[in-house]
Amino acid sequence: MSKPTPCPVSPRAAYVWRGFKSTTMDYKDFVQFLGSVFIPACALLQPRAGLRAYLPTMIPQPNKPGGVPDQTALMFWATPCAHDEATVTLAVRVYQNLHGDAYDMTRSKTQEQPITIAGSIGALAPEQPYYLNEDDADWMLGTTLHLVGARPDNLSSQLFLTRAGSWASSLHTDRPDGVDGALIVCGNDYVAAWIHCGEEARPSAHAALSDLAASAIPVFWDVLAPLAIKAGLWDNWPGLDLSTTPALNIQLERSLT
Amino acid sequence: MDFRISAKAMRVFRGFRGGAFVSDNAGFLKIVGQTFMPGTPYMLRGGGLASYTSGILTNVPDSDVPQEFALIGYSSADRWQHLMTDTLQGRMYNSTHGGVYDMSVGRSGAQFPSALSGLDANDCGPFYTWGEVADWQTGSICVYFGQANGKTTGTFRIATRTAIGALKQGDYDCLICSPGDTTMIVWAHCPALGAAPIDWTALQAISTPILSTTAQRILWEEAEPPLQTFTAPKVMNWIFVRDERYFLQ
Repeated sequence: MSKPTPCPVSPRAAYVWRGFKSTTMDYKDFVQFLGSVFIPACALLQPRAGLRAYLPTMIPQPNKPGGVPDQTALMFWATPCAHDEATVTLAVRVYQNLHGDAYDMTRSKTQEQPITIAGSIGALAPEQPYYLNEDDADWMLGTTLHLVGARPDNLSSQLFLTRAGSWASSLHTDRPDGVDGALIVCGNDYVAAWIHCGEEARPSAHAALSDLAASAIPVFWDVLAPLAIKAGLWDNWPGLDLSTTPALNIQLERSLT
Repeated sequence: MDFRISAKAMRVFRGFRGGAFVSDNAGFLKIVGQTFMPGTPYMLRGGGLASYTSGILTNVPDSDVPQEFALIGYSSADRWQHLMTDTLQGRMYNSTHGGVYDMSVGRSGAQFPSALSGLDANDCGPFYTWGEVADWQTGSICVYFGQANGKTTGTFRIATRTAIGALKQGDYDCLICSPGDTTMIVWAHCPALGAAPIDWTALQAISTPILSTTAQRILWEEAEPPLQTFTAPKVMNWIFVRDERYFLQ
């Protein structure tokens, strides 16, 4: 794949997914299905319909409370409307039907589109994603740090949401140099945040996430690894092994669009 | 090119509403017509799909009656196996059904048929007769969907075989039957367009017809196969360009 042309998009074009696996599927099968079908299908089918970045993460299961999602993903589209417009294509509608096999959609079907944190005071609204600055950014390129944490037992949900809100407002008003994008979503029992930056700003992005991690029990905290899918739809290919590469920044073939 | 395939390479599908669609008939008809049916040739044509004949009932009389039924033909059974296990496109197609269909045991699913002549009394899957090799995308397809008359528990499948044996083949070259405990779905193929319909009288002796029709040809001429809106029961034979790499030259 040739070096990709930067393709920055608005944070309003983001979709923030928190997936809970289907109760009829064990985690091993869930990982197998997402790696062999779901994630590569998204990565190969949806760039033609406007997908610009896709960053899926499998959340480690040891010590993960049930209220923390089993998987997260950020998806960035060409425009805020592109996600909905994509459903006019048959390929995207077929892809969307994959969700029913893998996820508990009662728990997973939450608000995905973020709103600005600007003007927000106090606690975050539960399950409402927020973007923390307005800049366009190309999340497929650069460095993305991701934190997923559980609510400590000694912290009420309301206080947990308030602390997350305080952290988000602080990052909004005092953004570290080199950081050009940040998103957060907080439920009653978990928080998930992503910071996007140039590689040189990674230490300051990590430090910023440390402040949020202090209010939670980190379950996942790492950089998302860039990965290009070398196979095509009809190739003899078993899929991705998400047990060895659980946190990814998929390098999409955006030139196909 | 020879696009004829063995009946042993045809997946015979029965579909029951599931998931959120159990109590949402309109939503089921919409997703089947706008996504699943056009999505089948769209997804599989490039991998060796040979034919696709799909049918829908808009109102099923009871929960034992499958609302969707289809023949999905591949260039070979091995090709199907390869597609569904080794390729992303095949795995993806195979994984799209769980949110829409009731996939529990004994409900929705597909099987390859066996030759009627080789069945034993305990076989209960689909079967074929009259001939094995046909090009189901071309020619005419006559379809009968019947529900058993009265109480027939345990006997209807055997009665179906006997009744099939009494049908007159005429110019038809292959018949495939999906027998159930209380329903039968029968497709008969004739190489000629506009063939005279099959006389189903022998089947009507043991069943009441829910649907008896000829498949309507649906041409895929644009970038995507045409979407379908269902207001009445319908059987469609999808016409698409096949990938010659997978067929005999």
